[in-house]
Amino acid sequence: MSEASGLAAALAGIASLKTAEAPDAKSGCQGLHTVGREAIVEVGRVFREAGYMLEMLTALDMRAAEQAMHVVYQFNRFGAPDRHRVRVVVPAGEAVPSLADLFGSANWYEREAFDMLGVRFDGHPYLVRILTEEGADYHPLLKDFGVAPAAAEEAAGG
Amino acid sequence: MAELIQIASDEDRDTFYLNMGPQHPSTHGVLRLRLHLKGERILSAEPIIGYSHRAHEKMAENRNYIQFLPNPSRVDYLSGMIYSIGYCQAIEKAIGLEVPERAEYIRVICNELNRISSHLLWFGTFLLDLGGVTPFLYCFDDREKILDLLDLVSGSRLTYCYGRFGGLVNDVTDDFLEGTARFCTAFRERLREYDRLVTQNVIFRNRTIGVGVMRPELAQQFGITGPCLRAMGMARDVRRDEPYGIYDRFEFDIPTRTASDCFDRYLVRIAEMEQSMRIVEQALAKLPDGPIMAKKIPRKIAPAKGEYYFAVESARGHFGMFIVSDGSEIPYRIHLRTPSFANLSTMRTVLPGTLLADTVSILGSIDIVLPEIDR
Repeated sequence: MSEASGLAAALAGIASLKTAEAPDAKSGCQGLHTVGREAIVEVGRVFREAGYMLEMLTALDMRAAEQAMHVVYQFNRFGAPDRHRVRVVVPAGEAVPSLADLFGSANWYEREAFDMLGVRFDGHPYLVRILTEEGADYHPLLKDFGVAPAAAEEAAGG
Repeated sequence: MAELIQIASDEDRDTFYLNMGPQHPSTHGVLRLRLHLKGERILSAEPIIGYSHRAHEKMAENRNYIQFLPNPSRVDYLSGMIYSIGYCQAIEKAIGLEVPERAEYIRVICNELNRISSHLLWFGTFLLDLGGVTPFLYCFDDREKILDLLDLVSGSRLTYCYGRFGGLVNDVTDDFLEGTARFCTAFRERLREYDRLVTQNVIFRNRTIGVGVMRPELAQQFGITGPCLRAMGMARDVRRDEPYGIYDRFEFDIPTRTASDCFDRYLVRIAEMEQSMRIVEQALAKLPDGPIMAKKIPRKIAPAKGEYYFAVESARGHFGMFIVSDGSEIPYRIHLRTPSFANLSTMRTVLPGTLLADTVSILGSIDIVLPEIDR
């Protein structure tokens, strides 16, 4: 069994994982998946055992449309890209299990997602702000956080 | 001052915490390291970042794609050209815009010149950190020539905004082409001079060989990319693995080393400058005539609703842009995956067990640029 089909088989074994049909080349990804948050650690383990790295982790504020946050994980291997984007939809205000035990890089990526968008990660060893100041009470990348003065002016008809 | 140095606990009075930075000259910008020390030996290290956070990702959500053009080069001011052109390429791919041949070649020339200038600055300051002042002056002399060349075509010395969606803002002049060719000839000789000046230097070797070894498993754990990864023996480079622009048309090697210590990271970067020059010379030889902007550029730059990811190889590694579009002219979200963020996060694992004095070599050898980490 090749490495790629082994990965596909392992991913197929995860009940809540839904894989999209062949992704567009423009997406930059070879696989697009959505998974329940309870299974994200399992997904992370599958990728780690297949030799993949956690290339990127970030979150999207989708509260306006879906009352939920999206946490986006991107796994890739070294060499010819086999990039998988895994999405976890989490109701606003609720936590996602941390991948910090599986990937060293998740530690900082999750801290950044928490700092910027307020997503909490259960089981993270040190979930504190990383880029903004200590003790801040805002999450700047949330859509309802501050609007640039110029944009506000425009909205007011000025 | 009370906070700066404190005794850990009563039981362990010979260990203490030390803040290195954020104003320490060897932290290249504003990085703070919270070190737990026992004598000279590091027990644990925690890099503290965010001092130059300028909210580039938030800015992206408050302006349209065109207005965001000047931002990417300010994210990493040492490889600004690569970032700025990379952003153009990301948007061009998302909206399906073809770039004229001539512009593609000029982009490659400018990118590679920028890579050399970034490596030169790294080389100079790395040696400066280790106490060698002379190479720094030589490097800045050469780097100045590149900055002048890029200034000639783009109008800026560091934070370039040379790319446009569909091409470039200016065509290159003959001065630029001749100057670049002259630089390449002269720089080959200079590289040999640097090699004689530095590589065999016994102090330099003692401070770098076997110092700051990154174990191979860290590559996968932390997603290390760029010269740090190549010094681990892995010939991985975005230009080769998923060629963007016209990088698949050039012959170049991916230099690797295997010991993964500071010395190997130095050798990899030196060899990369040589390879970049090979690419520049090939591009100069093949540079076609023609327009530098695509003919039909949409009036509205608005990628179709969806998510896009595009990666380029910056001087420090894999720079990825994750662009989420809601179909409007204003990005819904742009996340910048920067290489040094991942590379620096390994320090929590690499530094413990090393000596305080080696911290300077190790930090220097991973080539961090703090604004790129903080974004």
